[in-house]
Amino acid sequence: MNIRKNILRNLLPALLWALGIPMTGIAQTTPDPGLPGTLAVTKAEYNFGDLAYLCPSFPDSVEVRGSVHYPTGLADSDYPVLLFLHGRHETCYDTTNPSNTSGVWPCPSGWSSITSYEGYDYLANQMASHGYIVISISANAINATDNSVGDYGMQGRGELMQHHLDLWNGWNTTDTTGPFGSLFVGKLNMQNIGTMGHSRGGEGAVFNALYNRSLGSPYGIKAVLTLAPVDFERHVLNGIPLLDVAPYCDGDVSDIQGVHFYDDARYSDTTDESPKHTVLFMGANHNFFNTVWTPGSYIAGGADDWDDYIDPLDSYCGFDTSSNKRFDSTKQKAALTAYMSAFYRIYIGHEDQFGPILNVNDLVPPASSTLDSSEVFVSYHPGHTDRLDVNRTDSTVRTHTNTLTDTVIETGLLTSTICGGGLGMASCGITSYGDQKPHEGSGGVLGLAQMHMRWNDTTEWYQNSIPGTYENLSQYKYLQFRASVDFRETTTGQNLDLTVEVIDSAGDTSRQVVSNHSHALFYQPGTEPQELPKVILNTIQIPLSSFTGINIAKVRNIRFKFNQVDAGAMVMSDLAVITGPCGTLKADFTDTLSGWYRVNFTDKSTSSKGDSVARLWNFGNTASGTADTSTAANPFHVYPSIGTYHVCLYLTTYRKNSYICTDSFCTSVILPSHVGVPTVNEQNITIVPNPAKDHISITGAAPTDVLTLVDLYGRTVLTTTITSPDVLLPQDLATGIYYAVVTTSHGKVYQKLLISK
Amino acid sequence: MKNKIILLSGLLFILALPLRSIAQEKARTSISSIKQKGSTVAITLTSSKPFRMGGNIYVLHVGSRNFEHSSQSSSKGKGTITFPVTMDEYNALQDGVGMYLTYGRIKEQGADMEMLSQLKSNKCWSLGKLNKSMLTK
Repeated sequence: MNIRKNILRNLLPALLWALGIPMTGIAQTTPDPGLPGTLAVTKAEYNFGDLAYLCPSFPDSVEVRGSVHYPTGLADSDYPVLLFLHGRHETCYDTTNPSNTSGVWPCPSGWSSITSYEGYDYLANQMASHGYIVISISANAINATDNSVGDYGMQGRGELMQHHLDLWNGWNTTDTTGPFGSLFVGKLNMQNIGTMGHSRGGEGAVFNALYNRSLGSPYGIKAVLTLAPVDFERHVLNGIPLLDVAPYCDGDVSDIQGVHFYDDARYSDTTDESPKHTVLFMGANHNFFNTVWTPGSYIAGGADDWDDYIDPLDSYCGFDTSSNKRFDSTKQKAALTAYMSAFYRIYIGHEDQFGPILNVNDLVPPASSTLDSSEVFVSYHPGHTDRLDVNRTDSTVRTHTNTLTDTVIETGLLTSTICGGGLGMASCGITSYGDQKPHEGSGGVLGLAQMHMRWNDTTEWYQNSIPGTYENLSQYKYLQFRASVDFRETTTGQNLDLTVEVIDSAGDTSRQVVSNHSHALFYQPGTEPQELPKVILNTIQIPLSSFTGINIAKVRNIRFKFNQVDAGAMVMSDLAVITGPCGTLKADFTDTLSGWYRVNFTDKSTSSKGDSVARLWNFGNTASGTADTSTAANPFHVYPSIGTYHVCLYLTTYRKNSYICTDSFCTSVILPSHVGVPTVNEQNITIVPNPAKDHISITGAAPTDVLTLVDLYGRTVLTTTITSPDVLLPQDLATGIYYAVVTTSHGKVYQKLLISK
Repeated sequence: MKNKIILLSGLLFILALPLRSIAQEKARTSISSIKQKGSTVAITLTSSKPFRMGGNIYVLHVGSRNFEHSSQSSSKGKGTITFPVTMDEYNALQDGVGMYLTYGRIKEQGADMEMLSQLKSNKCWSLGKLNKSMLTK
C-alpha cells in the first residue's frame, strides 16, 4: 500500500471541506435530470368561476381554476400527469394600487386575484418538455378562510385536488364538452400521477393521496412531493414514494415541520416498500419556489419571508449581510427544478438512471441545479425489503439493545442517550427553541427519537453488534445512518468527523472516515436567536465495498470511533445496511446436458423477497423460430447439432418501490461432439416400426409409463400414457426426425424416430 | 451656519437610515376588543401591519391555553385577526395572565414567551395581560 497516497487521499477531501471549499471539482456521474427536454410546450387555462365547487368538507365554495402545460401537439397518448397545489398566500390585489393586497374571496370589485397557481410555471414547463401533462390548480378560496376550519382546510385541499382529477378524467375519456373539447381524450395516464404541494398545499397533497386511497384509489398517485410544507395534522403517508423539500432559511414555516412526513413514515408500516427522501436546500427560503410569491416577479404580494419576517441581518440567511449564503430566486428555482425533476422522472417516468441523486449515492449536485455540495443534503429511507435496520434509535432501550436485539455499547462518551422522540421522551437538550430542532417532539407530540452522543477524547467509541443470524451482509450495498452536529456541545464552526469501523467474526477490522463519503456533519450556520442554527439530520452513506479486508458475510460489529475530532457532539438515527434500489436482483443460471442435444436450464437468479420477476430466455438457436425463447422458470431446449450456443437469461422486476429493474446473465453452452443418443435397448423397451407412419408399437413399457414425442426444435408434439402398446400418432404429424422419450419409473429412454408419410 | 447644521443633520439622518429590510421594524400588535357574540367570545387583535397570509398559523397564547383558529383581514395597511373562543373556554381563562401572539406553534413547553416577544423577528408579540373587564356584548 502506498501510505503517502493513502494519507493524501483521505486528507484532501477533509481539508477541502474544513476550508469550506466545495468538492465541485469532482465530476458528476449521474445524468442531469434538470436539463430541459426536447418537446415544445403549450400552456392552457381553465376557469369555471370563483365559487364553482363545494368541497364535501370545506364550508365555503371554492374556485375551480387551473393551468395545464403539455407537450405541444400531444402526439402520443397516456402521458404521465403531475398535479400542483400552491399554499396559503394573499388572494387578491387592488388593481389601482397593487401593493394593497387582501385575503378575501372572491376578490371585490376593482381587485384581481393573485394567481399563485401560476408560480410553478417554470416547473411545469420543465416537466412538460419531458413528456408530462402538468396541471396547477388555484386554491385561493380555501386560503381565505382555512384558519377558521378545524383541520386548516387540509381535507378541503385534498378534495379540491381530487375534483380536478375527476374533471381531467372526464376530459381524458368521455367529456368533450369541457374547455378543451376532445384535445385531451386518451392523452392522460390517470394511473401514473405525481402530485406536489407547497406550504399548506404540501399537507394538502398528502391529504389528497390518502383521500384518493379512501375512495378506492380511482387514480394512481405514484409520487408525492411536499415543498416546504406544514404538517399540522401529522397524517402519515405510507406506500407512495415521498420527497420532502426543506429550505434551511424558511422564514415562514421556520420550524421545518415537513421533516415529520419523512420521520413519521419510516417505520409506521412494516410492509411499506416506498422510498422516502428529503432534500435540504441550505440557502433557500419559503417563497422563492413560487414566482408569484417572489418580490419583483409578480405584480403583487411577493415577500422574502426570511428577510421580512425573521431578520435580514442574520449572518447566513439574511440577504443584507455580506456573509450570507442565501439563494437568489433564480438559483432557488434551479435547485428545485433539478431535484423535483429527478424525483418525478424516477418514480413516474421510471428513468432510474437519476436514482443516485436522491439515493445519496452521488453527492455531486446536478449541474443544472447551480448548487455545490455544501448547499444541498439528501436523506434516503429505502423500502422495508431493501433495508436491514441495525438501530432505529426509536426507543430508550436502543442505548443498550439495538433493533437486531444485539448489544449496544460505548466507551467514555459524555452523553449517550436516546432523546427527542416526544411523547414523554426527554429532549436532546441542544436547544430550547422548537424552530432550531425541527425533528424533535415534545410533550404529547411525536418526534424523531435520536441517539445523542458527546465525546471529548479521540479514544471514545460507540458500537452496535450484529447477531449471527444477520451477520451475512453480502447482499447489501451500503451502510448508512442519519446524523447532525449538536451545535451546542461542539465548538462553533467546527465540522465533525468520525471513523466507521466494520468488524467481522474473526476480529478483522476495516475503517472508513465519514468525511470521505459525506459532508453531513457540518456545523450548522446562522446566528439568529431561537432560529439558527437548526439541527436537521441528513443521510451519511458508505459503500460496504469500501470496507475491504474483512469477511462481509460474517460481520459482527459496526463501530463509530470518534477519533477524527478531539471533542464534539452529534445526534444520529436510522443506522442500517441497505441494498440498492433494485434489491438483490441478480440473474444467473446453470445448464445441464440431458441426453441427445437437450439442455436443461435451471434459474439460479436471486431477487428480493416480494419482487415479481419476469424471465425471458434466449437459447441462441435462431433456427428454432419461436422455440428460441421461453418465459418458463426452468426450461429445456433441444439443439439441432453439436456446437456452441450463446444463451441469455433476461430478468425484469417491477418492484414495489416503483423501480423497474433489469439484469441479465449470458453464457456459452457447448454441445460436445460425443453427445449421443442412448438406445432404447438399454431399458429393454423397443419402438417399432422405424420409420413410422401413423402408429408405433412399444414393447417393454409399463402401463404407467409416458411417451413423449419431441421434434428437432424441442417442441412436444405428443404426450400420452402408454396404456396400450399400440400408440396412434397425430394425423398432422409432419415427415421428419423426432425423438421418442419413454419416461419409466427407472428413468428415461430415448430413441430417434423417423416419421415418413 | 444654521443652514449648514440643518444640512449636516439631514446628511447624518440619511446615513443613519437602515437599509431596506432593516427598516422593516417589528409590527406593533395589541388587543383591540373582546366581544361576546352568543356563546362565542371573539378576541380581536390589531396590528400596525397586515398579518401575513403564509403557511404557518397564528396562535393566541393566554396563560397556558392556546387558540389556533382565527380569521384575519387587513385594511389601510393595518391588520386585524380574531380568535373565536367558546364561552366556557373564556370563563376558564385566568384574569391577568400574560397574552401573546405567535406565528407558528411553540413547541417547547414552558417557553419564555416574554423573551420571545422581545426578539425583533415578527414571530412573537406580547399583548399584555388579559383584562376580562374588556369583555363587551
